[in-house]
Amino acid sequence: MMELNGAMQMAIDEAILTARARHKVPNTIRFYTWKPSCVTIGYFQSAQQEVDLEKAKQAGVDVVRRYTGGGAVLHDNEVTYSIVLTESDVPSNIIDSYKKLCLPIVYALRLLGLKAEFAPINDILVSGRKISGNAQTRKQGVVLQHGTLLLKVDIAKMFSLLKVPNEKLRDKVIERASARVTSLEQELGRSVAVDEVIAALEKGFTAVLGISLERGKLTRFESELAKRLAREKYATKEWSFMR
Amino acid sequence: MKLINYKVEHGKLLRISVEFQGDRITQIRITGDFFVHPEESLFEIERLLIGKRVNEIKPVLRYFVRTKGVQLVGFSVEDLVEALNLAMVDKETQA
Repeated sequence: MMELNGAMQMAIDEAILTARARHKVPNTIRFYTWKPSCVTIGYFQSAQQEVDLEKAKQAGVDVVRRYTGGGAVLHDNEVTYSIVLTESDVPSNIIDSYKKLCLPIVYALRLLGLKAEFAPINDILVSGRKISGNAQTRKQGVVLQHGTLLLKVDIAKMFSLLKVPNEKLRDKVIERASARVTSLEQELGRSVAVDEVIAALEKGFTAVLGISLERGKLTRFESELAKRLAREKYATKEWSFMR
Repeated sequence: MKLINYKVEHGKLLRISVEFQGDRITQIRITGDFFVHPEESLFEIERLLIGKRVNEIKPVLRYFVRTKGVQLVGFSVEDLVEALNLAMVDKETQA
C-alpha cells in the first residue's frame, strides 16, 4: 500500500498502464491512499469550475487532473484501487466493463458485511447510497480503471472544496449529497482499518475475476516513468488547467 | 462565452461554454463529468462544431461517432444537440 501525493498516485497509474502496453509487466492491481488529501478532477472537467482553488490551497489539499473522465472527488478517508489489464480481458462495451471490474468491489463489500450493488454507469451503492466511484480509460490496448472505497465521509469538508453547478442551490445540493453518499464507517457502525479493506478487495478481485495475485513492487521502468510523469505532467499548471 | 449546464437524465453533466455568431458556433468548450472513449475524440468534436449551425450538427456528430467508433458515456449526440439548442434559445431570449 502506497501513501503518496495525488500527482504521484496518478503518475504511477499511468506508468503501470504504459508498462503493461509495452509488455513489461503483467496485469496489475494496486491499492493506495493519499497524503496530503487531494481533489482529483475528471479528464474533461475544468479545475476552476469544479474546485474552490483558494480553499483547497488554504486546507493544504492538492488538486490534480486525472487521466480518466468522470467527476471531481475528494480523496480523504478512503482506499483507492487501480487495476490495469489488457483490453481483451474486459468487454468492449464501456458500461459492461465497468460492471465486470466493479463486481469484485461489490464482493469485497459483502465480505465486510454489506450488501452492495453496481449502479451504472460507474458507481457502487450500499443501501442505495454511493460508497464507491470508479473511472476508466483505455490506451494502447490497455484498460486502466481506478476507484475509491470510502472509509469515512465528511460532506462539509467535501463541499467546502467542491463547487456546485448552481451556487444558489448549494444547500440543497449538500443536503442531497448527504442523503446519497455513505461510507464503510457509517454502514458498519465502526471504524474500519485500511488493511482490512485492502484484504477484502484482494479477495474480491481474485474470487470474482478468477485470478491469482502475486505481491510485487513497481519495476524500475514504472518508478522512473512515474516520477517523470508526476513532475512533467500531473504536477504542472498546464495539465491542471488544460480545460 | 455563455455557459450552459445540461444534466442528462440518468447520465452526466454537460457544461458547455459556447459563443455564437448569428446561428453559427464560433467557439465551444465542453467540460463535465462524462466519459468519451477515446478521450481525444471530444477535442475533435469541438473542432468539428466550429462554424456549424446548431440545426446541422446532429448528422455530422452521428457520422463522426459511428465511423470513428467513439463511445460517449453519460450523454449522447442528441443530448449535446439539445444542450446547444438550449444555449441558442437562451441567447435569443437575452438578445
